[in-house]
Amino acid sequence: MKHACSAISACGKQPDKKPFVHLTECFMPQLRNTHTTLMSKILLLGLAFWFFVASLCAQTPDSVKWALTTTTKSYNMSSVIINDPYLSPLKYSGITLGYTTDFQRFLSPYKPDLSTYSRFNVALGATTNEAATANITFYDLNYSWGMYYHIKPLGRLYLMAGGLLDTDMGIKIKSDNVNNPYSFDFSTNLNFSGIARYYIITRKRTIRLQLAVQTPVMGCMFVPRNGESYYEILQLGNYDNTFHFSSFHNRLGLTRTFSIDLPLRFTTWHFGISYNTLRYKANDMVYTKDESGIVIGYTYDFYKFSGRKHKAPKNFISAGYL
Amino acid sequence: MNKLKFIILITCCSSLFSCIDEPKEYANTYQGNFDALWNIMDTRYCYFDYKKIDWDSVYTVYQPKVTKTSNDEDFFELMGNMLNELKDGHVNLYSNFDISRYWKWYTDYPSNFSSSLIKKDRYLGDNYRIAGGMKYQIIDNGKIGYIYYGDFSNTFTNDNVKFIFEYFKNCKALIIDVRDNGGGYLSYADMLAGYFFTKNTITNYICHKTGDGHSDFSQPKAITTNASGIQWQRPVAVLTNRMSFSATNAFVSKMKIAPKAIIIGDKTGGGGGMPLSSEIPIGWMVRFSTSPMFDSGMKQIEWGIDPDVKVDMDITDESNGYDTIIEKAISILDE
Repeated sequence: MKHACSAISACGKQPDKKPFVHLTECFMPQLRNTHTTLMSKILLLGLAFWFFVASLCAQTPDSVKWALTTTTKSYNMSSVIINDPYLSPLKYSGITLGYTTDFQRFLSPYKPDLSTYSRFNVALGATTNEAATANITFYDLNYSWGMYYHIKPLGRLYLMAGGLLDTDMGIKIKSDNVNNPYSFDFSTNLNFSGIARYYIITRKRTIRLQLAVQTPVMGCMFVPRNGESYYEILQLGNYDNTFHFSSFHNRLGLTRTFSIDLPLRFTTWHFGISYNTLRYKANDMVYTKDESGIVIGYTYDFYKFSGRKHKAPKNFISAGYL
Repeated sequence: MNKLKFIILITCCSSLFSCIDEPKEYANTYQGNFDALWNIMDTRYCYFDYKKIDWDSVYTVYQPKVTKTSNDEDFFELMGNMLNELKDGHVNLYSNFDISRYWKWYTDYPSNFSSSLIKKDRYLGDNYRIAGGMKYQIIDNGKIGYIYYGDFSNTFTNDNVKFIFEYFKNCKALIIDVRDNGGGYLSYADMLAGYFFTKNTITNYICHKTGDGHSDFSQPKAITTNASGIQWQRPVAVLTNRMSFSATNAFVSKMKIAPKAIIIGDKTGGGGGMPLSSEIPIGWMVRFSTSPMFDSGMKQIEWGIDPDVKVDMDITDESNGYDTIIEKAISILDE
């Protein structure tokens, strides 16, 4: 870049202010005077190539750093117990299947202490009551985005703490109910999230152990009154007392996931167990959801798979791996 | 130090779970199920005050009988009898072997309808048309259009109604027969009424329970019937009987104030409370009224709507192949 600037300044203009305007003004009068269009094209192409080569020479691999996006795609299967008093006062138990993809990346590769994180989760579940006389199926979509502050208290232990803003949309269906056959779940929350990571470095591979916890701090949630039908809410537009401010006084939840990331031949596998619990109360109804299950997936940095044999150069900084 | 703060924060969050009580659960015993059902109705049923029902005394009467029941059938019957104290056609208990119901709201009255009679050549005949669940035919020598709509769960569209009205374009009046229509979707009741209003009109109000108390209700919310782009602006008669219930009852309450509409037949069966469902531990589902509806003058419609012209079926007419209520409607519309 230094050479390029000096070439522009050779025409007597001021290169620091408007370099590209100067470039045009330098050469265009010359082209008009000679009327040699072929020569001008060659000259411009040569100049462009020279710029390119000069810029490459100025960037050695060690001086420029790149922030990688660490992506984890995982599938989970859980046993779940739900209680939705709008549909039924009884507890329903069953299984849920889900898919999660999350992304983490340092905000700046030069200052690897602040990372952005986003996660998309979709889940579906099927449950039945204890007497096995009725079913509730549910579908859930969740998107989270937030930031983590990274600290390294000792050795290979890394801690992260941050806030995640999430939006949760779901529907529970109990088809044999009359006028209340479904219950919408809608909430948006600011969550506190903490992650502890420990890296075990062996001769052949680096194994990552991770414990992640998350709890909602404040937000907004949709809960209809127990006796109000969705006809009244949606068709007549009676939203009174359906949206509630939520915080620790009426919404408590904790998601805990312990995972181990194991690089094998070409893929870094992601195995985990999770236990999530949620309680929220509004309009004299207490909703509960307890979920425990297993997680299986794989993880990679965006530019290529981070298998054992394909490690990134040192100037590619990953928020997820050493 | 940071690690310590982190652990303290997580511990605090976990301890906060004690702030929200777990939902109350009843034991899956006869006594537990009885208490669960009694409590669901006590806190959520909407007509205790209006019907002047002492629900506590119902508990006193029925609870001692619980210990005497020895099987599910007997217990189901006992629970059904307890629910029948509410005298509400919208209250049912559903088990996997039976459905309890209160039917006196129409079995104690004349039926005022014969499905075979309306299929006589004088009325629908054999060649009637069907559109969106509506059976229709031109009667009275081409002067009157006749529609029989027997279920507000049957979907119909503006296109269906447009075709029907087009078919009746030379008729000077219309009969909509909703006898033996036990209800269905409230939105269809509103939609059907909309063809007979020339402007948007508040036709009903609805409210819902807001707490456990028998008098805890929300402010009434107006239900506006929007005038449809397809209009029938000639006289219309709505035929009713006691089996015109629930959403049909709501339809009739709307038509009661529709211009050029007249209600003929028997008082409707009522069912003014929108029902919701719940469950008891044994797995039986219970349906009950939770949202009372009112007419445009804020009067309850739970016990039914009086017709403008009260007519009962005549046995002699019936034996001669005449439907007294349709004949009365024809004579009024012909005037």
